[in-house]
Amino acid sequence: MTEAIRLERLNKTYGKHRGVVDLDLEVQAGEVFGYLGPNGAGKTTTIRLLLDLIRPSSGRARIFGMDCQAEPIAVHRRIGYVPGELALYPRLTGEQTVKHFAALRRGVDMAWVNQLAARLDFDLKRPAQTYSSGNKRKLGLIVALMGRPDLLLLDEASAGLDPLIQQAFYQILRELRAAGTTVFLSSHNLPEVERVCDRVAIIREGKLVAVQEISSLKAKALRRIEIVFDNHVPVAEFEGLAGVRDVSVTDRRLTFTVQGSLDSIFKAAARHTVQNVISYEPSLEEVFLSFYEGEVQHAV
Amino acid sequence: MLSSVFAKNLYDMRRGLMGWSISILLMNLWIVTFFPAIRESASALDQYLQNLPPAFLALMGDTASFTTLEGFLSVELFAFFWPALTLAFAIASGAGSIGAEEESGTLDLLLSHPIPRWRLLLEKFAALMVFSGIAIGAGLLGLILGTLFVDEAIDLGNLAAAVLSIWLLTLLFATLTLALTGVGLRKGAAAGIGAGVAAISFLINTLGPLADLPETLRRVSPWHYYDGGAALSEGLSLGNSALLAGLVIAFLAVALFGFQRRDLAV
Repeated sequence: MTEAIRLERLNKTYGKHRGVVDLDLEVQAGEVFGYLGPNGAGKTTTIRLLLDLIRPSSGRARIFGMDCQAEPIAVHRRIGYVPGELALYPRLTGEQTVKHFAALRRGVDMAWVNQLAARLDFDLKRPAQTYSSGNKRKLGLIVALMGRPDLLLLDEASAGLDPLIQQAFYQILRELRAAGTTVFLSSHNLPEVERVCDRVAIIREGKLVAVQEISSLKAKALRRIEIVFDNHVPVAEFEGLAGVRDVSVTDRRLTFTVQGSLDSIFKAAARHTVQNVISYEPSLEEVFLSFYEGEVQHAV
Repeated sequence: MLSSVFAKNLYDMRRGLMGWSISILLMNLWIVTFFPAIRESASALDQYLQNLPPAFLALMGDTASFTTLEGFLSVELFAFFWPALTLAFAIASGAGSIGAEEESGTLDLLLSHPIPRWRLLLEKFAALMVFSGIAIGAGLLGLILGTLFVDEAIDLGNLAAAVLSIWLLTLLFATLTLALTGVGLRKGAAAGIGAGVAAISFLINTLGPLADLPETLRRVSPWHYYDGGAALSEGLSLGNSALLAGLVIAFLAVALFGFQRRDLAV
């Protein structure tokens, strides 16, 4: 079985509210898969359907070939999960929390737990109510990883981790991937998904709008760039370059948006004296617009 | 202590349970120590009772006689105070069993582990049985210490029967609120309904005969099948106890069925 996750026309409606609509998706075993969308798009709903915490209105979800609703326990044995809004038992210490959840699984190796804690710089001895939000997420990660799951479900995984710990976390993800673990990571943060994922699905208003290799997502992504020169530059030199548009010059400042390669614009800029370059990462909404362009009228 | 959901529940409740148990123990002990003084003026009290409006008399229970320890306990403890205290504890614990974890959000993480929902619920129910058993056991201990203190004898078999009856009534309301959260009600709503049902069914049962309520309505009240004080002198009615136990099982079944099928709240 090479499919870690398979969604088949998966629907969830809450009364009149849309949850997710006709999701069809396959995630291969061993992939680090990004699930990208703004808040409220249906990311958490999808993950809770996979975990059988909520039930589909129609369609089905499978994990490693097993129906998530028919065989939840067999599925859960192979999953580690970090909820987006992680709630822990405030009076238990980190260690007690780990032991409690470990008791619900078989064969949790405490040496591995201690190793994870050390790498995330996490103190297991304190009560959970004294942890900062970043520390809570670390504990959530340890609980999710302690059973060495085949599939890791991360809902807004690295939110709240400080940059240094994020690096340690990404390093752990890379190792897991090398060991064959599948990672399904929801995020509203495009740079994060670009950094760690192989493929990405984009969800918006409950519907999948694209499933892409990260490389093609990057190629499609629009970026806004600002170049500051030591002198006024003629705008005509930059108009009409490949992938470049919305060019304008104000005083010594050139601004434009670019899709794909930056090569032609930098070669053109190199004819002048460049003082500064500022690159704005595209917002998710801008990424969506690049997918929708020409097909759909976007709501303003 | 954290090796299962059951054990963790006991661990979490240890302080609250200790507080409740000590309160109930002291209340029972304290009330029993009044008996000798009351008995001395029992004939006057009995006369006084006969002159009370029938509604008051009904509220105090059927065996409103202060000349015997059984009669006294029946009125002072078993008719209202003891069950009221244990029910308050049970209704709150029953509603909180799943309700508290669902509302705080820990239920999502818990149920993402390989534990079936039915098993989680049964472990929570087992913990409720143990909590209420300990709280009631503490009350029993207080009562027995009280009788030793005032040097009175009491039939231990009948006392056990009366206490079993309280336990069944307590479990019934605990399981009712568990079932309400099981089918998806919020913790606060379940506790409110549980407390409301307990109070109204108590009034229907005790005041029903005076208000000319139909007998069938009284039969709907769980209190109708609670032997309480009557068991102290007459022993346990197996039929009543079986009926209460049957209702506990029925509510547990509703809780299991509802919880197994529904979506968990965010």
